[in-house]
Amino acid sequence: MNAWRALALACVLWPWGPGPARAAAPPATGLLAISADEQARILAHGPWPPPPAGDAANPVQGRSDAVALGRALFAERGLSASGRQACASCHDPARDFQDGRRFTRHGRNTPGLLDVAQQRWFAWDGAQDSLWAASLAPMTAAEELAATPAGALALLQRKPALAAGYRRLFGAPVADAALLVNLARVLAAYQATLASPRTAFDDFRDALASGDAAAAARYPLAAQRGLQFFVGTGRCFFCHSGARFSNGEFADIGRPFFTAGGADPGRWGGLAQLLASPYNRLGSVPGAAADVQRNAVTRHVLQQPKNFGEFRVPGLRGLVTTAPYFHDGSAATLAEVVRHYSEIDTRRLHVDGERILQPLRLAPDQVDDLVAFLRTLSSPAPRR
Amino acid sequence: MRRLAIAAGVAVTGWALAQALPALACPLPAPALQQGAVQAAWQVDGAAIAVARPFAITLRLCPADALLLRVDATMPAHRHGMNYRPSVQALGDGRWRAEGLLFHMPGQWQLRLEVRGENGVVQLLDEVVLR
Repeated sequence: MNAWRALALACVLWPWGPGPARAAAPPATGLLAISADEQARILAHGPWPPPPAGDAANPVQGRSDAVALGRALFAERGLSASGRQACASCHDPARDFQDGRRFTRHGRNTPGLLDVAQQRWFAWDGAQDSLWAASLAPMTAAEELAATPAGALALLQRKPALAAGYRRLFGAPVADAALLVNLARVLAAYQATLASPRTAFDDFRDALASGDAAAAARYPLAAQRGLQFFVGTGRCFFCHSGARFSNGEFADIGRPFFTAGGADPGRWGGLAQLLASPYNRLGSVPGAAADVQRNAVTRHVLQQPKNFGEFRVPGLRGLVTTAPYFHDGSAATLAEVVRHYSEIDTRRLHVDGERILQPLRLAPDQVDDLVAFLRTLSSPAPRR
Repeated sequence: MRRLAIAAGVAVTGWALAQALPALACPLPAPALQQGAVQAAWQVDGAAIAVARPFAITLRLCPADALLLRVDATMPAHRHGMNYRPSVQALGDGRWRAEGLLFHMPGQWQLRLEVRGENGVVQLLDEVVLR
């Protein structure tokens, strides 16, 4: 019997007990038995971090001077027509680029931006197919920054450091649509650097990969049980796949899509917006079509009736600091998220939709285990 | 219809000689797909298929004048298809290329090739298991 199996069978539990010298008992550790299938599925959620995601459609992505200018612009309220709103107003760096509010716009929760460059589609409805177009949309939206070419030029004229940075990248600024596209590309260059740190899950996953049973056994048992359910009976990994725990696509999970103003069409509306946009990867903006591989998904994406009420499958890293959850921010805690899947009302799902989601009917300790696992996808390090 | 269960997170099915065969090598050797008088063989064009990663395939049809009308894929157990509609391009001599495929979930996918042969339109099916 090898050490790996011995650990699995013995399921070693440290004799943690209450004591005056110990303020809080560390979680029980050991190693559950893991099948070959489970191990393969767990390994598929890594390694982390992934290679940086490039985008040939953004000629300044990866340039340090663009990143620096983008960082400054991200916090720049002068970019907005009101002078009171910056990207960072909703995407707060202190909150992993989220705002902690239930929703701010169209009844939708503000998505965090860590690992955003790894996405194929952007916003909850996938209305943009590039990070720079996803930056341009809120920058110019009337209910958000409402930036204009004239206003952006005036900002550069008021702020010599920003103007110098712009000139180095693009030449002299002119008050036209290209100015806003360039600023959006600079913002995207900065956001492409925002990456989640490694987590306790990553250490466990890598320990499994390398056969280091002792290191793997440091992963809390509750998280192991939750993970086993995630890649097993729970079938969560069907949509929450890969190192980012998202397949990058869209799903109807039975959350309400009615809003104060009517209904949120989700992916259906996002696709209509995407395909009509001059700023998509098939558009005529110089350089927009430069990433041939990424263009292929825009060229072939299919709008289907089932898209109504679908929303982007979010990645699961950094959940601890990015509450509330779901596209409408309607779940305040991770336990609420898990209980939604435990009690999901399948009558709320599209009748012509997928046959994947069924009520999980979890016992309270299973909810706790899944939450324990999800929490290990966040770094224990303090917020930046 | 054939089934290949693929291990280690990699799914490469179909027949891997599409590029290597001489232009008029009909009939295709086993294990080509066959429906009536139409045969097809395919392979991934580029890296192996992975969950949620776009990919393209190259195909060989016999007879060489058969027309590839459509390439599609579904997950029968989940009752859904792809979120993308692949395009097909004739490369000549019975060779074709289809791009715009993306399997967004692990599990069993059914690849469908719709081909017009001299006796009408036939569907050739293959299975891909993604882990």
